[in-house]
Amino acid sequence: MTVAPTRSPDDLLIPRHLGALKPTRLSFARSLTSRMLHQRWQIERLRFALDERGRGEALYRVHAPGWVLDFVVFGQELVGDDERTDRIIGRRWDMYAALLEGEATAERVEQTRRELPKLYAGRAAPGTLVWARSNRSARLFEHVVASLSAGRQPDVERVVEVGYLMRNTGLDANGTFGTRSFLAYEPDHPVRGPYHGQMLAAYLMREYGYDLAEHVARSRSRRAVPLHPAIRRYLGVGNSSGLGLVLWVNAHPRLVDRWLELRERALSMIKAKEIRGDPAQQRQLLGWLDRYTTYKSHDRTRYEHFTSAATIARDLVQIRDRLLAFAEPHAAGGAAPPTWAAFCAALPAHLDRESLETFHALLIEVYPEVADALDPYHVAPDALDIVPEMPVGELCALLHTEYRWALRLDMAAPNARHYFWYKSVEAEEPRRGQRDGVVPGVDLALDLPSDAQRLDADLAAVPERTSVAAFLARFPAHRWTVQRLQGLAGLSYHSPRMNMLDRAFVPAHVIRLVNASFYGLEKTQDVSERWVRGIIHHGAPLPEEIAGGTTDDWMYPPAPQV
Amino acid sequence: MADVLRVSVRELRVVVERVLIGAGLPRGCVPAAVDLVLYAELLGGDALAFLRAQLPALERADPARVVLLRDGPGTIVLDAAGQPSLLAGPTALDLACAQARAQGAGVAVVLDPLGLPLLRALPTLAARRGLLGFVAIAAGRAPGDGPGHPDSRVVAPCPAADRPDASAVAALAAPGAAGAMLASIGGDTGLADLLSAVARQVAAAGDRSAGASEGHCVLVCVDLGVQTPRPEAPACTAIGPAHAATEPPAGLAGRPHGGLEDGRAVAAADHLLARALRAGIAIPSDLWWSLFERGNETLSPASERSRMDAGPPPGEVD
Repeated sequence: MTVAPTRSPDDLLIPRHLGALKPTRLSFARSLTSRMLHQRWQIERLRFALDERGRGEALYRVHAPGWVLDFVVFGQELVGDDERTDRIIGRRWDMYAALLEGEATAERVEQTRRELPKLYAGRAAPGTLVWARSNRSARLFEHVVASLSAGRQPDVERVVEVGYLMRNTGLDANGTFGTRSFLAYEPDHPVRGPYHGQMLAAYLMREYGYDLAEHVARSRSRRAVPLHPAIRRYLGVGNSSGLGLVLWVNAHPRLVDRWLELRERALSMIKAKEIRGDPAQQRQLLGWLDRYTTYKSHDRTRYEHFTSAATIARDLVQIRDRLLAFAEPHAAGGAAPPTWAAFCAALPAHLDRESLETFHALLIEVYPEVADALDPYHVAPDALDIVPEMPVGELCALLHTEYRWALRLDMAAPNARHYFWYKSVEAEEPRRGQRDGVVPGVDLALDLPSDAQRLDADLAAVPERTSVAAFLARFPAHRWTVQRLQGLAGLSYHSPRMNMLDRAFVPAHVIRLVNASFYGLEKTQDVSERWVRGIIHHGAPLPEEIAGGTTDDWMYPPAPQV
Repeated sequence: MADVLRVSVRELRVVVERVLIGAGLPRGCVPAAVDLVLYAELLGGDALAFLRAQLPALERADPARVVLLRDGPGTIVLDAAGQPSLLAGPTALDLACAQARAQGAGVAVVLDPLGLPLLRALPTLAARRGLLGFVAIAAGRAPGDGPGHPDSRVVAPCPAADRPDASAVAALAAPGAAGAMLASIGGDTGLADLLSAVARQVAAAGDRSAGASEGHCVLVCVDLGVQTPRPEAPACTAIGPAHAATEPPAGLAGRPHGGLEDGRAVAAADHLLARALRAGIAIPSDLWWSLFERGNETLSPASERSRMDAGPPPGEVD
């Protein structure tokens, strides 16, 4: 297949550009939903023993081909505001839950009830995939309950403004707290895609939130009505992510590279296609542009460092207009048929980066077979191999070729080392503080520019033919830097071009890369530079629709009509 | 019987990493040291207990005192000078691997490392790089022992779970890659001869380490021509499913992809890790929680100021 060139890492890996990437079919929330729809999973509520305030226990069962997964929920009610926090430092929640392989035995339920509240001091029951916890939305839950109990639907404006009833505060899996290691999932495991277990837990959290709201409303009034299906479908699960995702990106460069590579590869394959090749696809793209423009026109989210919804909506209208003109058959004969690459190259330079990435995401939507064919490749090795026999001359050349950006940064400049990164004893929450000594701690930042510069200086002190092994015997402190350098050699998209210590560095861009592009969250909003809110499963099909195999085009939902 | 709990590979890595950082090991040395502890634990336990016991020494560690006395073309000699094997082990492995890749075989002697038992993991780590590894460990003299060689024996020619299959042994016995190594250490052909030759190396190293209180180890790496696949830049035509690029480990029979585990890949030969990923790692509860607490000393204390260093104020909810 013909492909257009992929983008330069020096462009794509600028944090602001990474943060502009949008969810696509390749994002994990999307790929899980596609799998559920394709296989027509069934979700049933087996038990719902909660009191009038939502305290008690519930059990949901997921039927996937050859597998049963149980989601056991413990409902609580946080009364005082001092107990409620969106951050992982919370120690009490409105609900906590576990996603278990197989049917939940009384013993495993009891172990979950006892151990989960201990978090890091707790041990998950055997066969636990995910530990989850969430709170009721402080802005919407009570409004929904009050409305339903009064016999009416909640105010759609408020529903659209908030976007969720339950707010996730933690989804832990892959070995954490003794949960099953992702690598050990069986070949036919239903959640063997990256983060599919966490995304399924979030989906069930969403379902529980609806059942909880209706239950509490019914407890208050016999006039209570159920939540309208259009609102249920519209709402997702609230989420906030912080600095930990920047540390995650640093720790998993090969996965970051693979996931970005797949996205860029899909785009380049699509961009090589002729625009006039299939009029139906043109119409489909116009439809997506219209839907997204409407979606953004309803977006009430306030963005700080990110582009406003109005700007994106305005740009998309421009792109739509140009598309209509561009797709017309050229009057002059002999010209090469226009491709998507040519179309994108001809877009006005003043278009916002997020608008362009939105268009890219919609383009991928029009050619689902391209993304779907690449999706299985998301599961990739992540280890970094050292090459001890490499001569240091070769290592030096590699350093100067692939880390030129890091060698050029002035780490002695004022504010270049303004911050240090650490984890707090409070739920191990990652934090970023000024390097003034007020908060003591171990610096967890990846100072790639300084590491590269120090390595460069020491490499110059040994003959070029010296082996890396001998070099490291003399300079052992460089070992991890060398391993990272060699293990990532030849890969394009592994390391954001950033100095995360710098006073001007905005972590929200990198956090958003993971939240939006990788996980698939919508309406990702930055708060205080280092905190990103968003919505998981925004507009996702309801269980009955999944069981029925509804079409997989549920994204960018319009405001619900009730 | 002591209370035992099962921890995941990921948890063990995190806790050991924190313990080592907290002990002051240079950050660049930590990941390789974590691997050494992990595999030593997988090979038979006690590595974590050993780590806990060695913490005071780790806090005094000085990597600069580990000196490369001789870097081939014959036997490599590394003087650990009583420094922790967590520092000297990865260096020895790198040196022996480099020599094996260049010459077919590499032999590294580590003199006087503190924490010899952890070096049992080196053959498994060599196997992860596609090399056949052997290690012979000679414990140091107990206080009051008279002069003479310490007891020299091959204690870990190859861990059972990573024992080469018949074809690998046959390849070793044949002239060729192994032959170069045997020639370099004065051996003949065949596995038994190889092990004898290794034992002679141990004895010879014992002569050099006459003043070494901690003993010594000999690491032999043989390149059988089975290179660990290097990561390739994924291209549209070259990229393939992970299961095409990575053979499933036997411990994960039927698994169609290399998969992930906290950012680590499972090498084809890595049965030990595969087993640990499936079943977890059994650790005495008190040992685990003591290391867990020790690792948590790298976490910053709670304070109002610190809480402002992350997301919105705790009272601000959405």
